[in-house]
Amino acid sequence: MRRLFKPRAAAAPQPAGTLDLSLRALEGILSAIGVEPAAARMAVESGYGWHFQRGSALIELYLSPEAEGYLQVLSPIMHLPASNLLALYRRLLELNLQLTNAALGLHEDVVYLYHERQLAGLDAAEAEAILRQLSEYADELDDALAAEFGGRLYGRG
Amino acid sequence: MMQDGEAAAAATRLRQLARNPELDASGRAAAYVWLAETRDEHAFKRRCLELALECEPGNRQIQQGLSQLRARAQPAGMPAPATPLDYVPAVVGIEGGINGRASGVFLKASGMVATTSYAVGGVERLQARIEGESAVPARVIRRFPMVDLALLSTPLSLARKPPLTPDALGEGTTAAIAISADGARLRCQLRRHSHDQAGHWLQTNLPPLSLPDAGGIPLYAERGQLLGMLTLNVDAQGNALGLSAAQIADLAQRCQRERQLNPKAALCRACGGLALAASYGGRSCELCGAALEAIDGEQPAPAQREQLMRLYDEQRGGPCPHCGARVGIYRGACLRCGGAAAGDSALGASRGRR
Repeated sequence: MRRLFKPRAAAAPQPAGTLDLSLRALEGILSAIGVEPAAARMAVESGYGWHFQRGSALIELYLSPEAEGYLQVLSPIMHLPASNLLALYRRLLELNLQLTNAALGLHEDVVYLYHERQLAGLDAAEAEAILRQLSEYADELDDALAAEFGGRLYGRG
Repeated sequence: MMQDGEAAAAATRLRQLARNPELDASGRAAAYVWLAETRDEHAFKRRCLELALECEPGNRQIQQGLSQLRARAQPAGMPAPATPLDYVPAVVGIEGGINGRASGVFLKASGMVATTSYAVGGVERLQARIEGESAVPARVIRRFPMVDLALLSTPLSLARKPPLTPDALGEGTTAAIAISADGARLRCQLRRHSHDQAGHWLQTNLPPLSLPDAGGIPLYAERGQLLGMLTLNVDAQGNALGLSAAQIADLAQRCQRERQLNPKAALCRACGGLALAASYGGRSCELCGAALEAIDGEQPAPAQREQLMRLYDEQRGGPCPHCGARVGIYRGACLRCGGAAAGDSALGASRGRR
């Protein structure tokens, strides 16, 4: 079971009907960008989750079940290398300032690209733009960071 | 001493003894056994006996004591685990990890189990299940995320050595059978990964979607030797990769050496390494910088600044001419302030590791 990075336990749960609406909207968005929602679904602790490939990037999407629905999009990039971590951390912080609508972060031993926004007002064109941009960043950064610092690309040998 | 009502003082002294690297394993185990008697809480006693058993895995009295404690904690009708097992199970079920159910395999007669780092994530306490036995607690003792390996300790011991033969994989292609914890049997072909100079990875002809769980599925040769362990990582063709038995055996040895050399080191749940910082009162792992969690029921050690500076590697090289930090340089710039290094000698060239 995957877990959301930022569970919002204090927030009131979203009424089932509203969550269904958000779910249907997001599945429509996925279909519009060429992803089969049912095939991409994965089990998550709360809310809904999907994962799929965009180019060489693995993209994970989470829909949180709180009153103000949130969309989390993330892409695992690489596992931390065994040495030179301080330099890597500095580089990640420098890159964070250069990215638009995305942030680099760490969860356990994996470097992630991450984007989060409220579901309200999200349409297919914007969702596609978010996914395209995150995939491009992931494509560009994974090889560059692994080449400079070592470290295993996520899900690869 | 404890009969005089000075249990707290006795516990402190016993903790010091148990962590004293100059004391042999048997002595440290005895200290943990006595430490268990200083408090009445069931969880504390169990934790002490688990630590004692880690010091002296073959001690039958400790094994029995731990079995009795666990039996008391188990629901009625569940048989206590039989220790030692008089057979070597082909596969172990792993439950409670971040990515759901996984498989695993025994590496040593002492009950050490291997599974994937992906399966367990940052979880430290899991459950191990063997067909026909009740589930037993398992604890992650080390992860090697770079090769997707997690090593677990279990209270089980085996009467025989597991069939781990690191050199069993020949040149070319080898037929293998993967046996998962839920009973699935997958036949496949294995060969050494052509692009992996180090020989860690084994190429298979299995798509990862065919794997029934989060990996750790042992790969056996037809004669029963363990050849490796299946993971959900893929090669360029999209087929699942296995981790070779040789690599697993090497890292299991390394883990044991690390634990013997640094008995005070504790697992960092973020990077999977063994961190010493907490034993000197440090709050961050010296390997990856992640915040370290306090050990249940234990007071944090007082901060020992000298040791921590050495551990965090903050004494090498000269100070940065701009900010005075001794954190080091990378690509000609201070890692703290980004200012250009006046010269490698001023900052300590050894820190720029590339």
